[in-house]
Amino acid sequence: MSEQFTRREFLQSACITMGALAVSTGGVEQAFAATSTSTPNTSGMPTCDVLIIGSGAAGLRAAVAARKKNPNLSVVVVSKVMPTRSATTMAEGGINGVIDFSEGDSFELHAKDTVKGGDFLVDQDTALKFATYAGAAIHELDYLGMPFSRNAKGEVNKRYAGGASKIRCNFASDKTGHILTHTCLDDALKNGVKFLMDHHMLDLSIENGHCEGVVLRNIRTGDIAPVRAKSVVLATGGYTRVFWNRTSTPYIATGDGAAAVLRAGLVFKDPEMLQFHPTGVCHGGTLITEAARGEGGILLNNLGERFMKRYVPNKMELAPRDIVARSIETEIREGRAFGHDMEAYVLLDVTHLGKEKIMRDLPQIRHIGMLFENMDLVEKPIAIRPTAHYSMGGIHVTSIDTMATPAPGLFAAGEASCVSIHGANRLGGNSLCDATVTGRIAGINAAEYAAKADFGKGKRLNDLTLKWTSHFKEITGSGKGNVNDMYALREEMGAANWYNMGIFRTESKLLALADKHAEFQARYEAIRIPNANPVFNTAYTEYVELGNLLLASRAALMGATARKESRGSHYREDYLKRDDANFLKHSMVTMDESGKMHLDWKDVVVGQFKIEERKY
Amino acid sequence: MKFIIDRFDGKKNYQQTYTVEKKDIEALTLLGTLLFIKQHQDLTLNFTASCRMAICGACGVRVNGHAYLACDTKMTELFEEYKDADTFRISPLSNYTVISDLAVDWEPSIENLRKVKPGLVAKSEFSEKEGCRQNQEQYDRIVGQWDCILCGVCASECNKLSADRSDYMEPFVYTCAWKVANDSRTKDPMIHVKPAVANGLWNCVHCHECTNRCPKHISAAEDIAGLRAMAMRKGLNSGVGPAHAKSFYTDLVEDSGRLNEIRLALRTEGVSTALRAGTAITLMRAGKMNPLEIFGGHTIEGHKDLVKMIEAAKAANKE
Amino acid sequence: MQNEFAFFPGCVLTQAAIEAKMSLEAIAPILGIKLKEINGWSCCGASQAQDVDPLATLVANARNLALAEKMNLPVLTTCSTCLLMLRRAKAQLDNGQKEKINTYLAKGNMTYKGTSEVTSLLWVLAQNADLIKSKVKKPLTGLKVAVFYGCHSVRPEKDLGFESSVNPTSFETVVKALGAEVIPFEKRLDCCGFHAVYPAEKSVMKMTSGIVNSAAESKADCVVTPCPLCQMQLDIYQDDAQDTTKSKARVPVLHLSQLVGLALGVPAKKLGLDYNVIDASKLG
Repeated sequence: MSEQFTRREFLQSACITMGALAVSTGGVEQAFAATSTSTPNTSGMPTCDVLIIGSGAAGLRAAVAARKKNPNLSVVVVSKVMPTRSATTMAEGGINGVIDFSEGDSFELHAKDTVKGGDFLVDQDTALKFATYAGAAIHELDYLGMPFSRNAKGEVNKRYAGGASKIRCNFASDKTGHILTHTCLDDALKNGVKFLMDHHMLDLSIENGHCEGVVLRNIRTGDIAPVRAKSVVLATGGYTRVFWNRTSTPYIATGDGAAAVLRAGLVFKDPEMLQFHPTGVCHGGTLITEAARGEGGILLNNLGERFMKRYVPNKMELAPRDIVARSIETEIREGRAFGHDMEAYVLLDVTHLGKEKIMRDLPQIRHIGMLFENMDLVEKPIAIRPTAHYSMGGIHVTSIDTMATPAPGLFAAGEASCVSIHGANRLGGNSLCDATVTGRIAGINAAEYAAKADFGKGKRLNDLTLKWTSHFKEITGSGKGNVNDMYALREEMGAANWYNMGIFRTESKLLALADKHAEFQARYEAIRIPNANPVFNTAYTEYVELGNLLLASRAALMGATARKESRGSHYREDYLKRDDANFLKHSMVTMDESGKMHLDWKDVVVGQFKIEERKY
Repeated sequence: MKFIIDRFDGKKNYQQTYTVEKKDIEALTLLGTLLFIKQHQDLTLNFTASCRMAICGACGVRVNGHAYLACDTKMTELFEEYKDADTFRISPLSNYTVISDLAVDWEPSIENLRKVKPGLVAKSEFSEKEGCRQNQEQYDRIVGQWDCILCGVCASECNKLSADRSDYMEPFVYTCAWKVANDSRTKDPMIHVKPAVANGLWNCVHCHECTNRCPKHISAAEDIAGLRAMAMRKGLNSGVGPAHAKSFYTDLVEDSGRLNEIRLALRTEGVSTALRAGTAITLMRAGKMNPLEIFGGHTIEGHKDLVKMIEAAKAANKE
Repeated sequence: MQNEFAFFPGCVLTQAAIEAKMSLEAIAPILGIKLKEINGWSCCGASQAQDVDPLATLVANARNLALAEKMNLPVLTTCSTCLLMLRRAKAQLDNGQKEKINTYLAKGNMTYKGTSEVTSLLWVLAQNADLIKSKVKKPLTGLKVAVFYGCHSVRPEKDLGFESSVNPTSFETVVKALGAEVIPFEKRLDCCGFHAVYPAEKSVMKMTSGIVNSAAESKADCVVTPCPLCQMQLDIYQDDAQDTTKSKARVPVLHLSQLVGLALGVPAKKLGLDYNVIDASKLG
């Protein structure tokens, strides 16, 4: 493949995306007309003022906010799937936000619970702002048309969530995330947001420290094209699929944004902070919502005892997630669970709640039990074990005021970002408001930035596009490769990550994992995909995603190894205590040009909440 | 057992047969089976999936010509439904442009959703700062329609869409219009009803495929009927569709209590039954139409009581 | 076998589907089925009146069901749309609307109790295939039949509750009991379009034509359907439909009761075969 990529070839390969963007944006020229200091577009590359990667709640909120802030800007949401296929839809329990102050609740208290829930790794000024914005967001969502379950006064109904000192988890039946997603989609359609679906972000281009755009692969045609943008918002979700099937999240939660950020030399913050939800079904890791315990469900070991009494007797099954997850894993290790090793499980029993209550308040979990475990949990307890659920770590953002990364023009929002709101452990109900709130802020600021910025020249973008175009040909065009190579590697990665960097971590296991990852990366690069067809090549998409997961794993591994303490979801059996003197800091992982990872630290912003022992 | 899959590589359509051991897939869902085939036999097989727990809507496919949500369908269900068949035909959703194998193009559907103006326009008494007021009953009224995950299964089977999509939209689009038009917080339902009427609301053929296939048990057909009733109440009753429906109602309540077919034709299309002239003549020749019926048929016994009952119902349910 | 029914003819049986009534009246006594017409039955709404005033139509159908209850007999109908409308009304009443609607029925001194089931001719025949076989005088050997279910005899499955809507077998059972051959017919579960022939004429003609052509391609001697509305659509409009698609094929369309009658040895005239628009005389 020739080094010289002529402008003509560029235009050709870019033409489909260009066409789509031109249709969306009303023309390349219009995008320029909007800016005050315009530079002529000589590259021929398609352009967009505000490009949002990801169509979950955060991405959709960012798009609407950008459109409202400045209707003259071109705003496009890029998604590797059809919008609404995102993880947001899977959230069930509710969305936190203080709207009722009559029982002593306050933004401060919400912030305090969040800080404590995050085992004090949360930046306290951020937490306070987050709680304030979250409170306002609930009424805003209601006004936008989100239906909520209601109380007797016609107000939004709320319920208890884990780790909360007051009741403030606002909900819509047991499908709050799904309803939020469709509210955001309807709002996006209402506000003229354009979509570029089935487009995969392969890479991010940072030139002279500024964000200049992204390399997109049109999954439908296989065309790989550069898109210059004035601002980019990464709302790409989490990276919990590093555990592959031992997770509740969708197949698409592959940390594409975090990996791109690492490749661009930017910071991936607190990557080792991965949340393990206590109750996932055995076959496939799907979640049984915390509400099952909230409504009275109990956990039992193989002796038939409610083992939580050994660990947190005054909260039992309603202790925070990380604590319950560790308790279950301890039961497994100490031989009081059913089954063995990766197949071990305990029981969640809701039979005593009765069929009527289950059908009315927990219908989804019954359906899940039937679908995945071939059983009816109205009649029998269901087998469960912890499953990876959320990524507290993410793309380093400097301030919740802007949701900007240190690279001008680059923003991040939702689960993909790390401000940090959630620190070392996220409270139930805090992720939907995170997406809602940070998405909007990112959109507003991305629009403000784009209104004053210029497009970059696109040289690095050009180079990256060339690189990925060759990559596709190299990986898929060799005629070699076995069907199972990639999938086997993916399964092994998942198991190795779970076993060595899961709920219980030790130095020896982490070091062993580092060796394994060196092997994994070598194997990964040797894999060839026997599918040369560029049209909708999902195998290649999966290959790219696997590469991103390997990168995210190594970043997490770096953080986990360096953080010699236990805090929140990160539990070191060789360093059982929390060590504020040395580790009241965020781990900041970067990658250099040679692929080597580096770790730096950043102090947690402490404020009015006293750093104390985390006891419930 | 065999899975015959309708494939498309971007240029040509073809069928490919995959053989699997029943024991390897019988405990799985249909999605699990597709993943099994992709990951063990042929990684070029393309389909879309995300949540695998029936909430994101990504994995709609057809089995033996009928649409299913793959992650929500257990293989055992299929064995039972098709009487232990050892061969299944898998195809992409119908009424969608196929991009590759079982993956289809959702862009036209998103554009159709825009037409019914989704997104609430709230009553003036509500505000962004204070939110809205609604009660649980009003929430319960619409929450079923909010279950729609845009899986496309209803659209795949829609007989009207298959016949001609130029003057119609996917059933879920009408459900989307219904859910916001019937939200008690809405300022003006007609914002959403009018575009539904303008975009084929009266063209639904009542085949009930949508009702029957929906994995979330939503009946788009009922929502279409509901939108039609709303449109009629608000006086959007011009056109052949409304006139036709009105004719049945008139016969039932105001006239004899049974359908008068001569009048039906006249009321529906006015005097320009010239369109139907061929059919009318055919009917008369076949001896099926009694021209005297134009003067009205016999009123049913007890019609007065029926009218009393309907009037009582109307009075009790005044809006 | 339950052999006495409160008969709900439905509006078209007296006019445009007169031959359906004739053939039904001919076969019922042979099969030992007693049909007692409900006195004062009203139109079921046909899914059309429902679009104008769903409450009024529910009241009308509650009354229809109450009238049948007075006769202490289950309801039998030969029209699939009437079947669906009555069954849905019953489901609505049984699931919470009963009290409210009864207050309106009271104005006419009537009460809906919920004691009358609603069934169709097709279902009764399918449940008694052996009885049919025993009464067959002229087995329809060699007759190639394309069975056309029609939407409202199978969908929505949850409202009709008799059999699988994607893999139903009742019709095949009956036709085979008559000695005829059921041919594979791609469009057997498709929609004829009857309910939208006015507002969506172009589409409906295309649908009708597609069904006829599919039957012709399968070398069917006739299409048979349990629903008089489907029969009307496929028969009365067949020439129009085939003209719009410029298709040559013509296939006679019989009512279920007509096919049954032929096998039972009933003369063609008595079955109203003269009234079928597409010439069905060859089958008699």
